[in-house]
Amino acid sequence: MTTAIEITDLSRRYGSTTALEDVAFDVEEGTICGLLGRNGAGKTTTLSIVAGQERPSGGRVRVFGHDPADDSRVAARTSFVKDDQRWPDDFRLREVLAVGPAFHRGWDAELARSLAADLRVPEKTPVKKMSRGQASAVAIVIGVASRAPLTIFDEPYLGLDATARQLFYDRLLADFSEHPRTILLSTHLIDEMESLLEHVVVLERGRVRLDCDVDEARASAYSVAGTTRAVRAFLAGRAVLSTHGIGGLTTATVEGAADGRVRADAAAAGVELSPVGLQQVVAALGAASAASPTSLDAPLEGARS
Amino acid sequence: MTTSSLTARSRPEEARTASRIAPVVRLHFARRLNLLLVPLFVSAVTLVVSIVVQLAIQRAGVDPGTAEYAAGARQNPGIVWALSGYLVATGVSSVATSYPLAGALGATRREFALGTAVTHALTAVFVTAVLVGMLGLERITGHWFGGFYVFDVDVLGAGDPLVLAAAAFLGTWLSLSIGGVFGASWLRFGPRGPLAISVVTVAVLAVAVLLAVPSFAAVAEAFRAWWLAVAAVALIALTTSGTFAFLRRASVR
Repeated sequence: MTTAIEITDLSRRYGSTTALEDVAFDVEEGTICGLLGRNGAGKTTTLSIVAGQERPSGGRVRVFGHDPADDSRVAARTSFVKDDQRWPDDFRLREVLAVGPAFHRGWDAELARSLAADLRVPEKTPVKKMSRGQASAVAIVIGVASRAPLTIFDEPYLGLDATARQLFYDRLLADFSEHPRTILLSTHLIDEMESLLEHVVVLERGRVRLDCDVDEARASAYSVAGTTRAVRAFLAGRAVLSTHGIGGLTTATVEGAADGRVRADAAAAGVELSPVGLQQVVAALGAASAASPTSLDAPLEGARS
Repeated sequence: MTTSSLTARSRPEEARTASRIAPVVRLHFARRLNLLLVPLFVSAVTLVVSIVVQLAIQRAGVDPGTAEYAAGARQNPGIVWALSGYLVATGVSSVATSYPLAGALGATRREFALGTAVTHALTAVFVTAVLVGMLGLERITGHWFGGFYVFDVDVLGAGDPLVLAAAAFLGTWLSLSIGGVFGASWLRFGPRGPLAISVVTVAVLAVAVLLAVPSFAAVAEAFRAWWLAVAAVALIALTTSGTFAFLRRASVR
Protein backbone atom coordinates (compact mmCIF):
# COMPACT_ATOMS: atom_id res chain seq x y z
CA MET A 1 0.00 0.00 0.00
CA THR A 2 1.30 3.50 -0.87
CA THR A 3 1.77 6.17 1.73
CA ALA A 4 -0.30 9.29 1.03
CA ILE A 5 0.84 11.40 3.97
CA GLU A 6 4.22 11.20 5.70
CA ILE A 7 4.86 13.43 8.69
CA THR A 8 8.18 13.44 10.51
CA ASP A 9 9.27 15.60 13.47
CA LEU A 10 6.62 18.19 12.63
CA SER A 11 6.51 21.25 14.83
CA ARG A 12 4.51 24.47 14.71
CA ARG A 13 4.97 27.41 17.02
CA TYR A 14 3.01 30.65 17.26
CA GLY A 15 5.29 33.01 19.10
CA SER A 16 5.96 31.43 22.45
CA THR A 17 3.09 28.95 22.07
CA THR A 18 3.93 25.50 20.79
CA ALA A 19 1.01 24.00 18.88
CA LEU A 20 2.81 20.91 17.56
CA GLU A 21 6.01 19.22 18.71
CA ASP A 22 7.75 16.18 17.17
CA VAL A 23 4.58 14.98 15.48
CA ALA A 24 5.13 11.95 13.29
CA PHE A 25 2.66 9.61 11.61
CA ASP A 26 1.83 8.19 8.19
CA VAL A 27 -1.50 7.77 6.44
CA GLU A 28 -1.83 5.08 3.81
CA GLU A 29 -3.44 5.90 0.49
CA GLY A 30 -7.10 4.91 0.19
CA THR A 31 -7.81 4.84 3.92
CA ILE A 32 -9.95 6.89 6.27
CA CYS A 33 -7.87 8.20 9.15
CA GLY A 34 -9.30 9.93 12.18
CA LEU A 35 -7.32 12.67 13.87
CA LEU A 36 -8.58 12.74 17.43
CA GLY A 37 -7.84 14.64 20.58
CA ARG A 38 -9.07 17.36 22.87
CA ASN A 39 -9.66 20.97 21.87
CA GLY A 40 -6.31 22.67 21.37
CA ALA A 41 -4.51 19.37 20.83
CA GLY A 42 -3.25 20.55 17.43
CA LYS A 43 -5.68 18.78 15.09
CA THR A 44 -6.64 21.75 12.91
CA THR A 45 -3.02 22.95 12.76
CA THR A 46 -1.94 19.52 11.57
CA LEU A 47 -4.72 19.38 8.97
CA SER A 48 -3.84 22.88 7.72
CA ILE A 49 -0.18 21.96 7.30
CA VAL A 50 -1.04 18.73 5.49
CA ALA A 51 -3.29 20.73 3.15
CA GLY A 52 -0.50 23.24 2.52
CA GLN A 53 -2.60 26.03 3.98
CA GLU A 54 -0.13 26.65 6.75
CA ARG A 55 3.64 26.29 6.95
CA PRO A 56 5.35 24.24 9.64
CA SER A 57 8.01 25.67 11.94
CA GLY A 58 10.06 22.53 11.56
CA GLY A 59 9.99 18.92 10.47
CA ARG A 60 9.08 17.23 7.24
CA VAL A 61 5.68 16.73 5.64
CA ARG A 62 5.14 14.87 2.39
CA VAL A 63 1.77 14.47 0.69
CA PHE A 64 1.78 12.19 -2.35
CA GLY A 65 5.55 12.50 -2.18
CA HIS A 66 5.69 16.30 -2.27
CA ASP A 67 6.02 19.11 0.25
CA PRO A 68 2.43 20.42 0.40
CA ALA A 69 3.44 24.04 1.10
CA ASP A 70 2.37 25.86 -2.06
CA ASP A 71 2.83 22.83 -4.32
CA SER A 72 0.20 22.72 -7.02
CA ARG A 73 0.70 18.95 -7.46
CA VAL A 74 -0.59 18.52 -3.92
CA ALA A 75 -3.07 21.40 -3.82
CA ALA A 76 -4.79 20.22 -7.00
CA ARG A 77 -5.46 16.85 -5.36
CA THR A 78 -6.57 18.20 -1.99
CA SER A 79 -9.89 19.41 -0.64
CA PHE A 80 -10.00 21.01 2.80
CA VAL A 81 -12.88 23.24 3.86
CA LYS A 82 -12.25 24.32 7.44
CA ASP A 83 -14.86 24.29 10.17
CA ASP A 84 -14.57 28.09 10.36
CA GLN A 85 -14.18 28.55 6.60
CA ARG A 86 -14.46 32.15 5.38
CA TRP A 87 -16.63 32.69 2.32
CA PRO A 88 -16.91 35.55 -0.17
CA ASP A 89 -19.76 37.86 0.84
CA ASP A 90 -22.31 36.96 -1.81
CA PHE A 91 -21.36 33.32 -2.43
CA ARG A 92 -24.39 31.06 -2.44
CA LEU A 93 -24.87 27.35 -3.14
CA ARG A 94 -25.18 28.12 -6.85
CA GLU A 95 -21.71 29.67 -6.98
CA VAL A 96 -20.26 26.78 -4.98
CA LEU A 97 -21.69 24.25 -7.42
CA ALA A 98 -20.47 26.37 -10.35
CA VAL A 99 -16.83 26.71 -9.29
CA GLY A 100 -16.36 23.27 -7.71
CA PRO A 101 -15.86 21.43 -11.02
CA ALA A 102 -13.29 24.01 -12.12
CA PHE A 103 -11.05 23.08 -9.21
CA HIS A 104 -11.58 19.33 -8.93
CA ARG A 105 -11.39 17.01 -11.90
CA GLY A 106 -13.31 14.30 -10.11
CA TRP A 107 -16.18 16.62 -9.10
CA ASP A 108 -19.52 14.84 -9.36
CA ALA A 109 -22.10 17.53 -10.08
CA GLU A 110 -25.07 15.20 -9.62
CA LEU A 111 -23.74 13.97 -6.30
CA ALA A 112 -23.19 17.57 -5.18
CA ARG A 113 -26.75 18.58 -6.10
CA SER A 114 -28.37 15.56 -4.47
CA LEU A 115 -26.27 15.87 -1.32
CA ALA A 116 -27.09 19.58 -1.04
CA ALA A 117 -30.77 18.76 -1.43
CA ASP A 118 -30.66 15.91 1.10
CA LEU A 119 -28.82 18.10 3.61
CA ARG A 120 -31.33 20.87 2.92
CA VAL A 121 -28.78 23.53 2.01
CA PRO A 122 -30.71 26.74 1.22
CA GLU A 123 -30.15 27.94 -2.32
CA LYS A 124 -30.74 31.66 -1.95
CA THR A 125 -28.97 32.36 1.33
CA PRO A 126 -25.32 33.52 1.09
CA VAL A 127 -23.12 30.90 2.73
CA LYS A 128 -21.72 33.59 4.99
CA LYS A 129 -25.19 34.13 6.46
CA MET A 130 -26.10 30.46 6.80
CA SER A 131 -26.53 28.79 10.16
CA ARG A 132 -23.62 26.77 11.56
CA GLY A 133 -25.21 23.52 10.41
CA GLN A 134 -26.03 24.80 6.93
CA ALA A 135 -22.47 26.05 6.42
CA SER A 136 -21.17 22.65 7.59
CA ALA A 137 -23.44 21.04 5.01
CA VAL A 138 -21.90 23.17 2.25
CA ALA A 139 -18.43 22.08 3.37
CA ILE A 140 -19.57 18.46 3.29
CA VAL A 141 -20.97 18.88 -0.22
CA ILE A 142 -17.60 20.21 -1.41
CA GLY A 143 -15.61 17.55 0.41
CA VAL A 144 -17.65 14.58 -0.77
CA ALA A 145 -18.44 15.77 -4.32
CA SER A 146 -14.88 16.89 -5.04
CA ARG A 147 -13.65 13.29 -4.83
CA ALA A 148 -10.23 14.82 -4.23
CA PRO A 149 -7.52 12.17 -3.80
CA LEU A 150 -6.89 13.71 -0.37
CA THR A 151 -10.09 14.90 1.27
CA ILE A 152 -9.81 16.56 4.66
CA PHE A 153 -12.70 17.23 7.01
CA ASP A 154 -12.27 19.30 10.18
CA GLU A 155 -15.13 18.49 12.53
CA PRO A 156 -17.51 18.40 9.57
CA TYR A 157 -20.64 17.78 11.63
CA LEU A 158 -20.71 21.07 13.60
CA GLY A 159 -24.28 22.27 13.90
CA LEU A 160 -25.74 19.35 11.93
CA ASP A 161 -28.75 17.56 13.33
CA ALA A 162 -28.60 13.81 13.98
CA THR A 163 -30.36 12.94 10.72
CA ALA A 164 -28.02 15.07 8.65
CA ARG A 165 -24.98 13.61 10.40
CA GLN A 166 -26.09 10.05 9.67
CA LEU A 167 -26.80 11.02 6.09
CA PHE A 168 -23.28 12.41 5.80
CA TYR A 169 -21.71 9.25 7.22
CA ASP A 170 -23.76 7.02 4.92
CA ARG A 171 -23.11 9.05 1.78
CA LEU A 172 -19.41 9.41 2.53
CA LEU A 173 -18.99 5.69 3.10
CA ALA A 174 -21.01 4.78 0.01
CA ASP A 175 -19.02 7.14 -2.20
CA PHE A 176 -15.74 6.06 -0.62
CA SER A 177 -16.56 2.45 -1.46
CA GLU A 178 -17.07 3.31 -5.11
CA HIS A 179 -14.31 5.92 -5.33
CA PRO A 180 -11.63 5.15 -2.75
CA ARG A 181 -9.41 8.04 -1.76
CA THR A 182 -7.47 9.16 1.27
CA ILE A 183 -9.66 10.82 3.86
CA LEU A 184 -8.24 12.55 6.91
CA LEU A 185 -10.79 13.87 9.36
CA SER A 186 -10.89 15.32 12.83
CA THR A 187 -13.81 14.62 15.09
CA HIS A 188 -15.00 14.71 18.66
CA LEU A 189 -18.02 12.50 17.89
CA ILE A 190 -15.92 9.38 18.06
CA ASP A 191 -18.71 6.92 18.80
CA GLU A 192 -20.68 8.17 15.81
CA MET A 193 -17.79 8.08 13.37
CA GLU A 194 -15.90 5.08 14.68
CA SER A 195 -17.34 2.78 12.04
CA LEU A 196 -15.91 5.00 9.30
CA LEU A 197 -12.36 4.96 10.61
CA GLU A 198 -9.64 2.49 9.78
CA HIS A 199 -6.75 4.26 11.45
CA VAL A 200 -6.57 6.78 14.28
CA VAL A 201 -4.00 9.29 15.43
CA VAL A 202 -4.61 10.81 18.84
CA LEU A 203 -2.97 14.14 19.57
CA GLU A 204 -2.53 15.57 23.04
CA ARG A 205 -0.91 18.91 23.69
CA GLY A 206 0.63 18.94 20.22
CA ARG A 207 2.17 15.48 20.44
CA VAL A 208 1.09 12.12 19.05
CA ARG A 209 -0.29 10.05 21.92
CA LEU A 210 -1.60 7.12 19.86
CA ASP A 211 -1.09 6.10 16.24
CA CYS A 212 -2.58 2.76 15.23
CA ASP A 213 -5.48 0.91 13.63
CA VAL A 214 -8.87 1.32 15.28
CA ASP A 215 -8.84 -2.28 16.54
CA GLU A 216 -5.41 -1.78 18.08
CA ALA A 217 -6.61 1.45 19.66
CA ARG A 218 -9.55 -0.32 21.26
CA ALA A 219 -7.23 -3.03 22.51
CA SER A 220 -4.73 -0.50 23.84
CA ALA A 221 -6.68 -0.06 27.06
CA TYR A 222 -9.20 -1.84 29.22
CA SER A 223 -11.64 -0.92 31.94
CA VAL A 224 -11.60 -2.24 35.46
CA ALA A 225 -14.43 -1.86 37.99
CA GLY A 226 -15.01 -2.89 41.58
CA THR A 227 -14.79 -1.61 45.10
CA THR A 228 -12.42 1.30 45.50
CA ARG A 229 -10.16 -0.77 47.74
CA ALA A 230 -9.97 -3.67 45.27
CA VAL A 231 -9.44 -1.43 42.28
CA ARG A 232 -6.74 0.52 44.10
CA ALA A 233 -4.92 -2.70 44.84
CA PHE A 234 -5.22 -3.89 41.24
CA LEU A 235 -4.00 -0.58 39.80
CA ALA A 236 -0.79 -0.47 41.77
CA GLY A 237 2.06 -0.12 39.33
CA ARG A 238 -0.22 0.06 36.28
CA ALA A 239 -0.60 2.95 33.82
CA VAL A 240 -3.95 4.45 34.78
CA LEU A 241 -5.49 6.78 32.22
CA SER A 242 -8.58 7.82 34.15
CA THR A 243 -10.67 6.93 37.18
CA HIS A 244 -14.26 7.53 38.20
CA GLY A 245 -15.53 6.96 41.70
CA ILE A 246 -19.11 6.76 42.99
CA GLY A 247 -19.54 5.95 46.66
CA GLY A 248 -17.41 2.94 47.42
CA LEU A 249 -17.14 1.86 43.80
CA THR A 250 -14.45 2.87 41.31
CA THR A 251 -14.04 2.41 37.59
CA ALA A 252 -10.68 2.97 35.93
CA THR A 253 -9.33 2.92 32.40
CA VAL A 254 -5.91 1.33 32.24
CA GLU A 255 -3.42 1.55 29.41
CA GLY A 256 -2.25 -1.74 27.98
CA ALA A 257 -3.69 -5.01 26.70
CA ALA A 258 -5.92 -7.14 28.89
CA ASP A 259 -3.74 -10.24 28.54
CA GLY A 260 -3.80 -13.42 30.61
CA ARG A 261 -1.72 -11.99 33.41
CA VAL A 262 -3.98 -8.97 33.71
CA ARG A 263 -7.04 -11.20 33.80
CA ALA A 264 -5.47 -13.38 36.47
CA ASP A 265 -4.57 -10.31 38.56
CA ALA A 266 -8.10 -9.00 38.16
CA ALA A 267 -9.59 -12.28 39.32
CA ALA A 268 -7.25 -12.34 42.31
CA ALA A 269 -8.09 -8.73 43.21
CA GLY A 270 -11.82 -9.31 42.80
CA VAL A 271 -12.34 -6.65 40.13
CA GLU A 272 -14.17 -6.90 36.84
CA LEU A 273 -12.45 -6.32 33.49
CA SER A 274 -14.21 -5.08 30.35
CA PRO A 275 -13.12 -3.85 26.92
CA VAL A 276 -13.34 -0.15 26.09
CA GLY A 277 -14.57 1.69 23.02
CA LEU A 278 -12.47 4.07 20.98
CA GLN A 279 -14.15 7.10 22.53
CA GLN A 280 -13.32 5.83 26.00
CA VAL A 281 -9.68 5.35 25.02
CA VAL A 282 -9.40 8.84 23.56
CA ALA A 283 -11.22 10.44 26.51
CA ALA A 284 -8.98 8.57 28.94
CA LEU A 285 -5.84 9.65 27.09
CA GLY A 286 -7.06 13.24 27.24
CA ALA A 287 -7.82 12.91 30.95
CA ALA A 288 -4.38 11.45 31.60
CA SER A 289 -2.81 14.32 29.68
CA ALA A 290 -4.80 16.87 31.66
CA ALA A 291 -3.53 15.40 34.92
CA SER A 292 0.00 15.84 36.17
CA PRO A 293 2.73 14.10 34.15
CA THR A 294 3.43 11.81 37.08
CA SER A 295 -0.16 10.62 37.28
CA LEU A 296 0.52 7.49 35.28
CA ASP A 297 2.90 6.37 37.96
CA ALA A 298 0.65 7.55 40.76
CA PRO A 299 -2.76 6.06 40.05
CA LEU A 300 -5.77 7.37 41.91
CA GLU A 301 -3.81 10.40 42.97
CA GLY A 302 -3.55 12.62 39.92
CA ALA A 303 -5.43 10.81 37.21
CA ARG A 304 -8.95 11.36 38.48
CA SER A 305 -11.42 12.84 35.99
CA MET B 1 14.69 6.10 -14.02
CA THR B 2 15.50 7.54 -17.44
CA THR B 3 15.31 11.15 -18.52
CA SER B 4 12.41 10.37 -20.82
CA SER B 5 10.38 8.82 -18.04
CA LEU B 6 11.02 11.85 -15.86
CA THR B 7 9.81 14.11 -18.65
CA ALA B 8 6.76 11.97 -19.22
CA ARG B 9 5.82 12.26 -15.57
CA SER B 10 6.47 15.96 -15.19
CA ARG B 11 4.52 17.18 -18.21
CA PRO B 12 1.04 16.33 -16.95
CA GLU B 13 1.91 17.84 -13.58
CA GLU B 14 3.00 21.09 -15.26
CA ALA B 15 -0.18 21.09 -17.33
CA ARG B 16 -2.24 20.76 -14.17
CA THR B 17 -0.34 23.64 -12.62
CA ALA B 18 -1.01 25.92 -15.57
CA SER B 19 -4.67 25.03 -15.74
CA ARG B 20 -5.39 25.94 -12.12
CA ILE B 21 -5.07 29.69 -12.65
CA ALA B 22 -8.24 29.63 -14.76
CA PRO B 23 -10.35 28.19 -11.90
CA VAL B 24 -9.24 31.09 -9.70
CA VAL B 25 -10.39 33.52 -12.40
CA ARG B 26 -13.67 31.64 -12.56
CA LEU B 27 -13.99 31.83 -8.79
CA HIS B 28 -13.63 35.61 -8.94
CA PHE B 29 -16.06 36.01 -11.82
CA ALA B 30 -18.63 33.86 -10.04
CA ARG B 31 -19.26 37.14 -8.24
CA ARG B 32 -20.52 38.96 -11.34
CA LEU B 33 -22.37 41.49 -9.23
CA ASN B 34 -19.16 42.85 -7.72
CA LEU B 35 -16.89 42.76 -10.72
CA LEU B 36 -19.22 43.50 -13.62
CA LEU B 37 -22.62 44.80 -12.61
CA VAL B 38 -21.71 47.29 -9.89
CA PRO B 39 -19.20 49.18 -12.10
CA LEU B 40 -22.00 49.51 -14.66
CA PHE B 41 -24.34 50.74 -11.94
CA VAL B 42 -21.75 53.20 -10.61
CA SER B 43 -21.24 54.57 -14.13
CA ALA B 44 -24.99 54.94 -14.62
CA VAL B 45 -25.48 56.68 -11.27
CA THR B 46 -22.54 59.01 -11.98
CA LEU B 47 -24.10 59.80 -15.35
CA VAL B 48 -27.43 60.69 -13.75
CA VAL B 49 -25.88 62.74 -10.94
CA SER B 50 -23.62 64.63 -13.37
CA ILE B 51 -26.56 65.40 -15.64
CA VAL B 52 -28.60 66.69 -12.68
CA VAL B 53 -25.73 68.92 -11.50
CA GLN B 54 -24.99 70.27 -14.98
CA LEU B 55 -28.69 70.76 -15.65
CA ALA B 56 -28.87 72.83 -12.49
CA ILE B 57 -25.94 74.93 -13.70
CA GLN B 58 -27.67 75.46 -17.04
CA ARG B 59 -30.92 76.42 -15.36
CA ALA B 60 -28.96 78.91 -13.30
CA GLY B 61 -28.37 80.77 -16.53
CA VAL B 62 -25.16 79.36 -17.98
CA ASP B 63 -25.37 78.84 -21.73
CA PRO B 64 -24.31 75.24 -22.59
CA GLY B 65 -23.46 76.29 -26.12
CA THR B 66 -20.43 78.35 -25.16
CA ALA B 67 -16.82 77.22 -25.18
CA GLU B 68 -16.42 78.38 -21.58
CA TYR B 69 -19.22 76.10 -20.45
CA ALA B 70 -17.71 73.11 -22.29
CA ALA B 71 -14.29 73.79 -20.77
CA GLY B 72 -15.77 73.98 -17.29
CA ALA B 73 -17.99 70.94 -17.71
CA ARG B 74 -15.03 68.88 -18.96
CA GLN B 75 -13.40 69.38 -15.59
CA ASN B 76 -15.96 66.99 -14.13
CA PRO B 77 -13.94 64.13 -12.53
CA GLY B 78 -17.00 62.42 -11.04
CA ILE B 79 -16.66 59.14 -12.93
CA VAL B 80 -13.01 58.75 -11.92
CA TRP B 81 -13.61 59.28 -8.20
CA ALA B 82 -16.75 57.15 -8.14
CA LEU B 83 -15.21 54.20 -9.96
CA SER B 84 -11.76 54.30 -8.34
CA GLY B 85 -13.21 54.22 -4.83
CA TYR B 86 -15.37 51.25 -5.64
CA LEU B 87 -12.59 49.43 -7.48
CA VAL B 88 -10.10 49.79 -4.64
CA ALA B 89 -12.69 48.32 -2.25
CA THR B 90 -13.37 45.51 -4.73
CA GLY B 91 -9.64 44.84 -4.99
CA VAL B 92 -9.44 44.41 -1.22
CA SER B 93 -12.46 42.11 -1.25
CA SER B 94 -11.20 40.07 -4.21
CA VAL B 95 -8.13 39.03 -2.26
CA ALA B 96 -9.26 39.06 1.36
CA THR B 97 -12.49 37.09 0.95
CA SER B 98 -11.68 34.83 -2.00
CA TYR B 99 -8.25 33.64 -0.88
CA PRO B 100 -9.52 31.36 1.92
CA LEU B 101 -12.02 29.68 -0.38
CA ALA B 102 -9.50 29.32 -3.21
CA GLY B 103 -7.13 27.65 -0.75
CA ALA B 104 -9.87 25.34 0.48
CA LEU B 105 -10.65 24.32 -3.09
CA GLY B 106 -7.03 23.49 -3.82
CA ALA B 107 -5.37 26.57 -5.32
CA THR B 108 -1.84 27.40 -4.24
CA ARG B 109 -0.89 30.90 -3.13
CA ARG B 110 0.95 31.44 -6.41
CA GLU B 111 -2.02 30.28 -8.47
CA PHE B 112 -4.35 32.50 -6.49
CA ALA B 113 -2.09 35.53 -6.91
CA LEU B 114 -1.73 34.93 -10.65
CA GLY B 115 -5.43 34.22 -11.10
CA THR B 116 -6.30 37.37 -9.18
CA ALA B 117 -3.92 39.47 -11.29
CA VAL B 118 -5.54 38.07 -14.44
CA THR B 119 -8.99 38.79 -12.99
CA HIS B 120 -8.02 42.38 -12.26
CA ALA B 121 -6.70 42.81 -15.83
CA LEU B 122 -9.88 41.31 -17.32
CA THR B 123 -12.03 43.55 -15.15
CA ALA B 124 -9.99 46.52 -16.36
CA VAL B 125 -10.69 45.48 -19.95
CA PHE B 126 -14.41 45.30 -19.18
CA VAL B 127 -14.52 48.70 -17.46
CA THR B 128 -12.50 50.20 -20.33
CA ALA B 129 -14.96 48.81 -22.87
CA VAL B 130 -17.87 50.25 -20.88
CA LEU B 131 -16.30 53.70 -20.60
CA VAL B 132 -15.27 53.79 -24.27
CA GLY B 133 -18.81 52.78 -25.19
CA MET B 134 -20.27 55.46 -22.93
CA LEU B 135 -17.94 58.06 -24.47
CA GLY B 136 -19.16 56.99 -27.89
CA LEU B 137 -22.78 57.38 -26.77
CA GLU B 138 -22.01 60.74 -25.23
CA ARG B 139 -20.44 62.00 -28.42
CA ILE B 140 -23.14 60.52 -30.70
CA THR B 141 -25.97 62.02 -28.64
CA GLY B 142 -24.42 65.46 -28.51
CA HIS B 143 -23.50 64.98 -24.87
CA TRP B 144 -26.74 63.31 -23.84
CA PHE B 145 -28.91 65.71 -25.86
CA GLY B 146 -28.16 68.64 -23.58
CA GLY B 147 -24.46 69.46 -23.25
CA PHE B 148 -23.75 67.14 -20.33
CA TYR B 149 -20.11 66.10 -19.92
CA VAL B 150 -19.55 62.88 -17.99
CA PHE B 151 -17.12 60.74 -20.01
CA ASP B 152 -15.84 63.40 -22.42
CA VAL B 153 -13.84 65.02 -19.64
CA ASP B 154 -10.28 66.31 -19.28
CA VAL B 155 -9.13 63.66 -16.86
CA LEU B 156 -10.09 60.96 -19.38
CA GLY B 157 -8.56 62.61 -22.45
CA ALA B 158 -11.21 65.22 -23.28
CA GLY B 159 -12.99 63.01 -25.80
CA ASP B 160 -9.98 61.15 -27.20
CA PRO B 161 -11.04 57.47 -27.09
CA LEU B 162 -7.45 56.22 -27.09
CA VAL B 163 -6.48 58.34 -24.11
CA LEU B 164 -9.69 57.34 -22.34
CA ALA B 165 -9.00 53.67 -23.05
CA ALA B 166 -5.46 53.90 -21.69
CA ALA B 167 -6.55 55.89 -18.63
CA ALA B 168 -9.50 53.62 -17.90
CA PHE B 169 -7.53 50.41 -18.33
CA LEU B 170 -4.52 51.47 -16.29
CA GLY B 171 -6.61 53.30 -13.71
CA THR B 172 -8.95 50.36 -13.18
CA TRP B 173 -6.13 47.84 -12.97
CA LEU B 174 -4.18 50.08 -10.61
CA SER B 175 -7.19 50.63 -8.34
CA LEU B 176 -7.87 46.89 -8.12
CA SER B 177 -4.16 46.16 -7.55
CA ILE B 178 -3.91 48.73 -4.77
CA GLY B 179 -6.92 47.15 -3.11
CA GLY B 180 -5.40 43.72 -3.68
CA VAL B 181 -2.14 44.53 -1.93
CA PHE B 182 -4.03 45.98 1.03
CA GLY B 183 -6.12 42.81 1.22
CA ALA B 184 -3.04 40.60 0.98
CA SER B 185 -1.24 42.57 3.69
CA TRP B 186 -4.28 42.13 5.93
CA LEU B 187 -4.23 38.37 5.31
CA ARG B 188 -0.53 38.24 6.17
CA PHE B 189 -0.30 40.64 9.09
CA GLY B 190 -3.88 41.40 10.15
CA PRO B 191 -4.80 45.08 10.72
CA ARG B 192 -1.11 45.96 11.09
CA GLY B 193 -0.55 45.21 7.38
CA PRO B 194 -2.77 47.89 5.81
CA LEU B 195 -1.76 50.31 8.56
CA ALA B 196 1.93 49.84 7.80
CA ILE B 197 1.37 50.28 4.06
CA SER B 198 -0.60 53.48 4.69
CA VAL B 199 2.07 54.92 6.97
CA VAL B 200 4.90 54.04 4.58
CA THR B 201 2.97 55.46 1.58
CA VAL B 202 2.24 58.73 3.36
CA ALA B 203 5.86 59.00 4.51
CA VAL B 204 7.21 58.36 0.99
CA LEU B 205 4.80 60.90 -0.53
CA ALA B 206 5.69 63.49 2.11
CA VAL B 207 9.42 63.08 1.50
CA ALA B 208 8.88 63.16 -2.27
CA VAL B 209 6.84 66.37 -2.03
CA LEU B 210 9.35 68.05 0.27
CA LEU B 211 12.23 67.13 -2.03
CA ALA B 212 10.36 68.20 -5.17
CA VAL B 213 9.01 71.53 -3.91
CA PRO B 214 12.01 73.61 -5.04
CA SER B 215 11.68 72.14 -8.53
CA PHE B 216 7.89 72.21 -8.83
CA ALA B 217 7.86 74.85 -11.55
CA ALA B 218 10.38 72.98 -13.67
CA VAL B 219 8.62 69.66 -13.14
CA ALA B 220 5.25 71.19 -14.02
CA GLU B 221 6.67 72.67 -17.19
CA ALA B 222 8.30 69.43 -18.26
CA PHE B 223 5.32 67.24 -17.27
CA ARG B 224 3.90 64.98 -19.95
CA ALA B 225 0.75 62.85 -19.66
CA TRP B 226 2.61 59.66 -20.51
CA TRP B 227 4.47 60.04 -17.22
CA LEU B 228 1.22 59.07 -15.53
CA ALA B 229 0.93 55.94 -17.69
CA VAL B 230 4.49 54.91 -16.82
CA ALA B 231 3.84 55.61 -13.15
CA ALA B 232 0.64 53.56 -13.29
CA VAL B 233 2.43 50.61 -14.91
CA ALA B 234 5.18 50.82 -12.29
CA LEU B 235 2.66 50.96 -9.45
CA ILE B 236 0.69 48.03 -10.89
CA ALA B 237 3.91 46.03 -11.02
CA LEU B 238 4.80 47.08 -7.47
CA THR B 239 1.38 46.34 -5.96
CA THR B 240 1.01 43.04 -7.81
CA SER B 241 4.47 41.98 -6.62
CA GLY B 242 3.51 43.06 -3.13
CA THR B 243 0.38 40.92 -3.29
CA PHE B 244 2.50 37.92 -4.34
CA ALA B 245 4.98 38.58 -1.54
CA PHE B 246 2.35 38.95 1.19
CA LEU B 247 0.37 35.90 0.09
CA ARG B 248 3.51 33.79 -0.10
CA ARG B 249 3.76 33.64 3.69
CA ALA B 250 0.07 34.04 4.50
CA SER B 251 -1.85 31.24 6.17
CA VAL B 252 -5.21 30.28 4.71
CA ARG B 253 -7.63 31.41 7.40
